[in-house]
Amino acid sequence: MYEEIAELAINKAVSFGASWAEARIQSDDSFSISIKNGSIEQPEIEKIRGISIRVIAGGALGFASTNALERNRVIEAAEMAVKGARAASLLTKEKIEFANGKEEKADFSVREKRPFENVSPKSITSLLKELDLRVVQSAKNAKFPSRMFTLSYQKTRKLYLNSEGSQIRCCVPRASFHFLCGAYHPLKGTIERSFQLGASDGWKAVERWKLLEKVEREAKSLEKNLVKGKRNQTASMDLVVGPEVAGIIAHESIGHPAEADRILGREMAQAGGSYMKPDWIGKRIGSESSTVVDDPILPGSYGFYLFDDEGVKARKRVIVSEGRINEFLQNRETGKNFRTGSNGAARASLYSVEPLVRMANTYFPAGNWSFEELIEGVAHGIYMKNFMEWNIDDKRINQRYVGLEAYQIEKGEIRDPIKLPVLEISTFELHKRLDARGNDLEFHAATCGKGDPLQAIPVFMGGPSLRFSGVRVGGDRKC
Amino acid sequence: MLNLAERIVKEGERLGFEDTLVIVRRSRGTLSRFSDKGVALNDSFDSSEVSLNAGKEGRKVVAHFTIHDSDEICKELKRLPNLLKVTDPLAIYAALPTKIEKYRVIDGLFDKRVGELNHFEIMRDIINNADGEKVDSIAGTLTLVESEDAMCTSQGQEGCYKRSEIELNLRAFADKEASGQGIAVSTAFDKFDYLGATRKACREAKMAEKPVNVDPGKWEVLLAPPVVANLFGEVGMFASAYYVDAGISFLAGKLGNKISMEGLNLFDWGNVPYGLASSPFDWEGTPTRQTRIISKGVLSSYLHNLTTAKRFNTESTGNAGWVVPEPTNLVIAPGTETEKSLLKKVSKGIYITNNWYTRYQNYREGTFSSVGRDAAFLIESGEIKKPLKGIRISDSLPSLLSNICSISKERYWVRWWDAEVPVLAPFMLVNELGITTPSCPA
Repeated sequence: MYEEIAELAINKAVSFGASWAEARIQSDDSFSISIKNGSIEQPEIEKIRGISIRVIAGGALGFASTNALERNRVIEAAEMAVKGARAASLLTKEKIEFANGKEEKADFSVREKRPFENVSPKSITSLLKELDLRVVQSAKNAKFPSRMFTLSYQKTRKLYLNSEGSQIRCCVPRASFHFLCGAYHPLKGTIERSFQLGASDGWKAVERWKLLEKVEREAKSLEKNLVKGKRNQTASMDLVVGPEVAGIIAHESIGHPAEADRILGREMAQAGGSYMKPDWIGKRIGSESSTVVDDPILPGSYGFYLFDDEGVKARKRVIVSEGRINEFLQNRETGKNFRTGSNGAARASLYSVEPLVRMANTYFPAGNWSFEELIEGVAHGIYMKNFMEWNIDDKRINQRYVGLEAYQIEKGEIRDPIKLPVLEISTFELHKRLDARGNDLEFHAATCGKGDPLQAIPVFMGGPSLRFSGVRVGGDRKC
Repeated sequence: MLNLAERIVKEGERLGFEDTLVIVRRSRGTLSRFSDKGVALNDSFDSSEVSLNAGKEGRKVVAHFTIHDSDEICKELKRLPNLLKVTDPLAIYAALPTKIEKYRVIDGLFDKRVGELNHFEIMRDIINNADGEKVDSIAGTLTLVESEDAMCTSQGQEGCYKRSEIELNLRAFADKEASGQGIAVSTAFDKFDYLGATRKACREAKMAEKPVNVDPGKWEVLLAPPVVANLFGEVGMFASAYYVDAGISFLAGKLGNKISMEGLNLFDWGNVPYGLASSPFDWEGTPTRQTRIISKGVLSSYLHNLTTAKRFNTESTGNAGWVVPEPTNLVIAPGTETEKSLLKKVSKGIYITNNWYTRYQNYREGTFSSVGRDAAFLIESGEIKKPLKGIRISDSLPSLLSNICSISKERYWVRWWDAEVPVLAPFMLVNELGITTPSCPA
């Protein structure tokens, strides 16, 4: 039935004058339960489903969406898309064209070994209560007065058709866990930690995460940092960051600026631009240790997909290779502009929004160094295992990461905990100072925001432990 | 729409729910991304949503359906009783009120002209006007929305209203590193000054050409309305009693305490005329109202829904979202200064026109940083001297509030991509605000 509706949308759009048209019917069903300071909150369920129609008419792009999957409303939407594009074309100096006209047929679904939907809400609330209790009981010298944990599940189904004959169907389930916990000590104050876990999978992912052990470890480290942590003396030093910090660095300082729509200035009013310029392919922006890839086809990953939301087959993208820019993230529009074609980076969060150039799973690949070898080489420095506060400017140059679990490194050994060390540095300096990548590659889930209306999409960010030589690390509130 | 809400409430009653509230919303409009090169995308949308809060025997469930088929929604409802059975009773269960409220009509909430506007003509005007301002380029988003909400409860409460919204967020760019932002937002076309916003964005972009780096440290800082809106939107969220109760708000335990200068008055005003988030009722059917969050510098109230009100032994302030009470429109009372007189007061300081990416080290302590975006300037002897770059506000909200020293009487409605809560924001002068910069600037 949905195929008929999608075909109708495309046929009507073409009959109204579109030179190209696509239709995407997408449904997102989600379910979540939270616990707040030991009390289970009301469960939340959500079902979102509708159709979007995107067209090129008169050389401009038009887009329309409706959640009324009825013939007359879908025809109305197709007409709105074409009329909007035609009106836009009168103001548009550069005609929009798309690369990759290849017809694709595919059907990909992620199978859950243990479907989340088959797990009773009682089991979920029991696990949440156990997690809460485990955190409370792990306290020795501090208390954990703020505890909010959420287990969520989302199933996304898409049917994509375009006027070039492509037809792609997919179903991707995603499980996620959110953790926010605050520790308190009467003499030391408070400290907070938040993180997210996620996977394209069902309840098996939750079992794999070993949440009881994970939250206990996090609570203990939070308490240790609060009670024993000292402020760092601002200075230039070697810095080793853990995979979670490596992931956010890859995402913010390389992934976002490599989005070709930003490079062309299409996101300037919202998420901003990029320090990368259209002719920067091959340009050195970091040391030879700086390699960053984005790979949507990583099995089980939170940002997993095999075909993007423009019907283009996804592939691994090497954004930066040994310090030099290798390729940008492209959709069909930017791929035409850059004459590279799309590399399958177009994603839309819901039926009602346009596909934008997005990351999937962005990470520094594993290197050859063991964690011990990375630390051994540091005479005086800091190991920043994870972080809390972070941000970056809208050209993706000026960034800041404030470590949470962190330790002093002295003469090649990890020593006392350090409280909230601050790395505030330009992208070019940071990647120039990257001198070694560990072999302990990990991925961490996140929800990335871009576009207007804001589109939140699931991604992995990752990497192994990384070592930066001679960077200025603050944290004594003088930096 | 009210018929659909009533049908779903009846279905809820048939399924045994004691408290059911349903809101049906239909939204239609256009969103266009444009630049001086033309319209990058024209997006027309039309959606209907049904949101439902249903409870019985001390348990509640929240459901949200953005699906059009009402029969399917009724079918989905049948899953809810089983879901309720296997979840825990809530620590606090607040029943929907039985008293039937008569809702006030809010002035300026709906302007039918917004739905009739030719948004392409507005964009053409903006592009043509920017062309005369000698900037390198512009980029913006223009959004026009008409929405209609109908609400019905199992206790017999009903209400409906229409709202229109028109919003421009425009950036102008000059030289390689300079930019300025202009914002125009309103519920009514008469109050939508899109050409004023265009001129402001272009003027500030030109003024910001060839920026230089600034020394980190504690500075006297003049915050423009977009910065005030971004940061006070955060203050509004932290005033939610849900976050206070969870222990993740810097405002926890400070009710009745002096937290800012005497001249600071911050209201949540859910039924302010022409308010972008104004509505006659909240998502529990409680009439919206004006709530003083900060009165003469003293923290006076948190924002409540029925559940948090019961927890704090007070009454709902009409701020219910589905689970968490949220700010509606935030209004900062006018001060006595002007933008110019505030500038004159600064012997050496910084003027920040916009910011984004506010993130926290610690919600309980309100320690955060936020990145400067668009024009920023060095002020010397009461005058703007030169443009700056690489600025980040790195401080805490308690410290920022306690260091506010002057407020302007000019105020502007601000809402944009990175300041989601509408705020009627003045200019503010803040002493001793922490400014940091990258150790190795670009």
